[in-house]
Amino acid sequence: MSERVDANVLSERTSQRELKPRPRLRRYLLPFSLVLPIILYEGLLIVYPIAQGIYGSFTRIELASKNPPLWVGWANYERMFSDPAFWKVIRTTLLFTGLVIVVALTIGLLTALLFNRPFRFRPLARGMLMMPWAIPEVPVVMIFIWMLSPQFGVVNILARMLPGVTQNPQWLQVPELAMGWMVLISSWKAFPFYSLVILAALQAIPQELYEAARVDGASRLQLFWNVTFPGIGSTLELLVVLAAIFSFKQFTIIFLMTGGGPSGTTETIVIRIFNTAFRFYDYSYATALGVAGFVVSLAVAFVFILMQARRAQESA
Amino acid sequence: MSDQNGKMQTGTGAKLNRRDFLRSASALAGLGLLAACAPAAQPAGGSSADTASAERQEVRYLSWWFEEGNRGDTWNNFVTEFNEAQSEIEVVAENIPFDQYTTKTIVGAQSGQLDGDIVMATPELAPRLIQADLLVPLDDVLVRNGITDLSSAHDALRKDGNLYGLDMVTVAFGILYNKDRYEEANITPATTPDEWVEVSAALTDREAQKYGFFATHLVSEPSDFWFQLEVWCMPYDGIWAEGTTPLLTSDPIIQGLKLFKQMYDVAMPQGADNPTGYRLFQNGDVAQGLYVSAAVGAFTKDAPDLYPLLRSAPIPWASNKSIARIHPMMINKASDAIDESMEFVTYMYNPDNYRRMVEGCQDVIFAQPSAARQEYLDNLEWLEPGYSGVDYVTPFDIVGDFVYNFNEFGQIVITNFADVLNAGKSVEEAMEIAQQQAEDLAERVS
Amino acid sequence: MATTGIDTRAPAHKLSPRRLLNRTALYLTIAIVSFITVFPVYWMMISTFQPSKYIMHFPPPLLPQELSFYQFAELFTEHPVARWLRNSFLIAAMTMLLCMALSVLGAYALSSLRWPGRNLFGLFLLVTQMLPEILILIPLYIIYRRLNMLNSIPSLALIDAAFILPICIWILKGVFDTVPPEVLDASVVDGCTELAALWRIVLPLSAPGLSAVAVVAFFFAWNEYLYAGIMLSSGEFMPASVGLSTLKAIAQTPVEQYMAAGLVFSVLPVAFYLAMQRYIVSGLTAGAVKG
Repeated sequence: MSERVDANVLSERTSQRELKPRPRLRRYLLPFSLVLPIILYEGLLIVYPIAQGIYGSFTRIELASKNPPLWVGWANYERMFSDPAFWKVIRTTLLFTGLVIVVALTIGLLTALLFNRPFRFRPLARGMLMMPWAIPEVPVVMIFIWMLSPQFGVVNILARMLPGVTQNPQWLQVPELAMGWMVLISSWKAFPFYSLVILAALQAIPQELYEAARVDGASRLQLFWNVTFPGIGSTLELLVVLAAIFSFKQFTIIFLMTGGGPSGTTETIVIRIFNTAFRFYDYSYATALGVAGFVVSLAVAFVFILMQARRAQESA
Repeated sequence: MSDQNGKMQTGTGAKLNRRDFLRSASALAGLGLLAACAPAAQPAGGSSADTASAERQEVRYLSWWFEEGNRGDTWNNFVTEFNEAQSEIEVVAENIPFDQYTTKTIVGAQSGQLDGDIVMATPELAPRLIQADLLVPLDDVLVRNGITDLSSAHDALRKDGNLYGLDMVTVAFGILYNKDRYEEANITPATTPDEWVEVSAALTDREAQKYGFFATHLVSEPSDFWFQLEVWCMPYDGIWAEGTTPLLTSDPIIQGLKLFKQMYDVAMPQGADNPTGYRLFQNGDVAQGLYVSAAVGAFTKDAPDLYPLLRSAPIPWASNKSIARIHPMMINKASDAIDESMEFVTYMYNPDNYRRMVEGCQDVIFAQPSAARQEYLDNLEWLEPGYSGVDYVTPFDIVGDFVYNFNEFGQIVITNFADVLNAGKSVEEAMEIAQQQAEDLAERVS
Repeated sequence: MATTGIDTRAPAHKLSPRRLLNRTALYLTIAIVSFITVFPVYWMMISTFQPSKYIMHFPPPLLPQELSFYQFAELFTEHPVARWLRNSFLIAAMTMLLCMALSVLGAYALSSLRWPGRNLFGLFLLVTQMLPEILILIPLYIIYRRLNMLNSIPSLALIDAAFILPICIWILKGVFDTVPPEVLDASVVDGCTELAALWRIVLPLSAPGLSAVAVVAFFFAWNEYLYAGIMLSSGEFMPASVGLSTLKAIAQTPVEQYMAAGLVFSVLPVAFYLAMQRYIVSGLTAGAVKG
C-alpha cells in the first residue's frame, strides 16, 4: 500500500497501453469485470437459495424423506390465503413496521434538530446518543426484559408514580403494552442511526437559504416548513425505506421478548416463518410465507425506485 | 449537489488527509493480517484430533449436555474412558445448546440427512426421526449386553419390530419444595388439588415478594411453558388428545387448567420469566415448583445451600400420575461410522457402565430396572415421596397422534390459555377456540 | 422542543434574560433526551456491578450500593467466554474485510463508471437486501453440506458478508458520488487508468466511507445469531451471540453474571464505534444526504 506499488501498477498499465492500444475494449469491460465477482458471489449464496425457496413453496416436503419433494402447485398459497392467521400476521407486520417508521423517524428528526444547535459538550452528547446503535441486539433484549420484569423491573418505579397504579404492570403480557414496547425498543435501537443521517442532511442545507428567508421575515415555524423540511426531504424518503426494511425484518427483539404473544399481537411474519419452519416442521408452508414476505418487501423497494425515478426526472 | 456534500463534509470535519488515511489503512491491514493468521492459530478440534488419532475412526456424538454440571462431567468422563480403553475409535463430544438442538436437528432432517454419528433426542423429536427412517436399529446392543428388562417406555421407540433408541435419561415431574419455607409457615404438603391451592396461597405474601409456587407461563418461552403445562391434564386424570382427536374441551382438561389459573392468581410471581422463577426458587422466595428429577441433581452444584433443604411432596391428586420424559440415544443412518458408533452405545449400555452413568448424573429413573442400587437411592433425601412410587405416563400417552406435531399442538394450547391468564377470558371460552384450531391441525396433517 | 433546523452559530455576546432562559431550556431538553437514551445502558451496568441481592429487590436502588467484580471472574471461568469472543471477532473481522474489498469494486462500478446494466446491477443489490434471511436458511444449509463447508468460521463469514454486502455497496457508492467528477476526469486525462484513479484518488478521499462499511459489516456479523447457531454445530466455533443465548437458556446463571456477559459482549462494538466515530458519521451519511 505504498507509493512505490502505486507507481509500479501505474507504469505497468501505461506501458501495456503503449504496447497494445486497445483502451476502448478494456474500458468497456472494466465495470463488468468489477461486478462479476459480486454477482457470482451473491448469485450463489443468495439468489440460488431464493430460487430454491420459491421452488420449495410449490412443493410438499416430507421431513427427511427419500422421496423427492412432491409438486403441489399453488396448494401452499391457497392454504395461506384462506388462513385467517396469515392475514392477522400481515396486519401485525404492517402495524409494527408503520409504527416503528413513525416513532423512530420522529425521534430521530427531533433529536437531530436538537443536536444541530450549538452547545457545550456537543461531541460528547452525540457520542452518547449513538450508544443504542452500537449495542448488539441480544444484550438489548436482556436489559429490557430485566427493566420490564414485573417483579424487579426499574420501569415499574415510574409506573407506580401514576395515580391508580398499585401493582407492577405486566408490561409484556398485555397486548397493547407489549406492542408498544416492541415499537419503543426497536425505535430506541434504531433512531440514533436516523438521527445521525438527518443531522448530516441538516448541515448540508446552505445557510444562505435561511438568511434569505429571514430577510423576508419568516417565522421559525415558516423557516422549518419552507427551508428545513424541503432540504431534508429526499433524505427522509430514503430513511423511510430503510426503516421499513429493517423493521420488517426485525426478528431478535420480538422473538426473544414476546415470542409473538400475547394472543399473537406481536407476531410478525418473520416470527411466523421461524415457528412454522423450525418449531412446527412445516417447511414448505414456511417457504410460501417467506415468498409472501419477500413480495411485500419488493413492493416497498418498487415504491422507492419510483420515488428515485421521479426525483431524477425533476432534477433533469 | 456535490457542492452541498462538500459543505457537509467540512461541517462534520471528517475529511481525511492522506496521512490519516494511510494510518487507518495500515491499521485495517494489520487487523486483516490478524484475522488471516487466526484460523491457523485456532486450536481447531479437527486438526489436533487428527494428528493424535491418524488411524482412529472418529465418531461425532452430538448432545446438549456436555456443559451441564454433573451430567456434563459424567459424560465427558465416559467419552474419555472409552477412548482410552481401545485404540480403534475416537468419540468426539460435540455440545449444542439445548435451545438450538431441536432446530438444528430439524434443519438437518429436512435437508435430507442428520448431522453427527450418535445423536440424542427429546421425547418429541424421537418419533419424528424414527418415522422419517433416519436411524439404525439398536437391538444388537441389547443382545450383546444380555439385557432383558428394558423399561416399557421404549415401546414408543420401536417401529416394525426394531428398536431405534436407547434411553439415557428419563426425567419425571414432581413437586419440589423448600423445607424451611414449609416449616416457617407451619404447613404440611397437600394431598388434594384444593389443599394444594390453599397451601400455596398460605406460602404467598406478594408485598414481601414471597411466592408459594412457580411454573413457566409466558408465551415468549413456548417450549418451557408447554413442557410444564402438559402435566396439568393429570390432576383430574385427563389426556390432551386421543389419536387424532383433541380433547381440549373435555372436563378433566378444563378443570386442570382452572387449577393452574387458581395457582397463578393466588401463588405465582405473575409475568416472571423462567430464569426469574428459577432464581426466586434458589433464593427461597418461591417455596415450591414442578421440577423434573434431572433438575434436582443440578442444584447440588448451582445452589449448594438450597439442595439440603429440598424435599418432594406427594403428587396431590388421586390418580398419582405424573409425566416421565425419555431421552434416547440414537445412531444416524447416514453415518460413515455406524459400527464404531454401535461400539460406544454398547459400551454405555453395559449394565455396570449404565448404572455408573445414571448415578453420576444423579438421575433416579432406570431404563434397566435391575441396574438400580438401593443404597444410592436411599441417599437422595428428596426422592420420597414425590419422585418414587408414582405412576408415570409418557408424552405419547397423553397427546395421542399430536406427538408428531407436538410443538404446534402445544402452541395452540398455550397461546389460547395465555388469554385466560392475562386477557380475562374464561377457560371454557379459550379452549373452545383451541379445540377448533387443533381439529383444523389434525385435519391438515392427516 | 421548539427548535428549527437553523444552525445558529452566532457570535457569542452577552446573554439577555430571554437568551438565558432559552439556553437553560435547551440544556434541560438535551439532558433529558440523553438521560432517556443512556438509561438502559446505565441500568445494565448497575445490574452488572452489584451483587444480585440489591437488584433482585423492588424497588431497586437507583444508585449502586456496592461494587463487585467477582461476576466477571466467574463468568470467564465457568463458561468459555474468551473462546466465544474470539470466534465472534474472527467471524466479524473476516466479514468486514470481505465486505470492504468487494464493496469497493461494486461501489466504483455503480458510482463512477458509466456502463449498460448499471441500474440493473443496483436493482439486483436492492432486491437481495429485501428478503427475510430465514427464507434461505435450509437451501443454504443443503449447499453448505454438499460443499462440506459446515462447521467452519470462514464459511459463516462468507454468508454474513453476502447478507450485508449490498448495504455496504450502497453506503460506499454514496461516498464515491461525493468525489467531484472533475477530479476523476482530470486524472484520466493525465493518463491514469480508471483502476488507478480508484486506487489513487477515489479511495483516499473515501476513507470515511470505508470506515462506515467496516463498522456496519462488523456489527452485522457480531450480532448474527440465526445462521451462527445452525451452521456451526460444534461448540468449538460457537460465537458470543449464540453463547449469550445459551446463558439465557441456563436459568441458573446469576443475574449479575448474566448481565456481565451482556456487557462484555457489547464492549467491543461500542469501543470500535467510539474509536472510528469521526469518520463513520460522514461516511454513513454522505450517500444518504445525496439521496
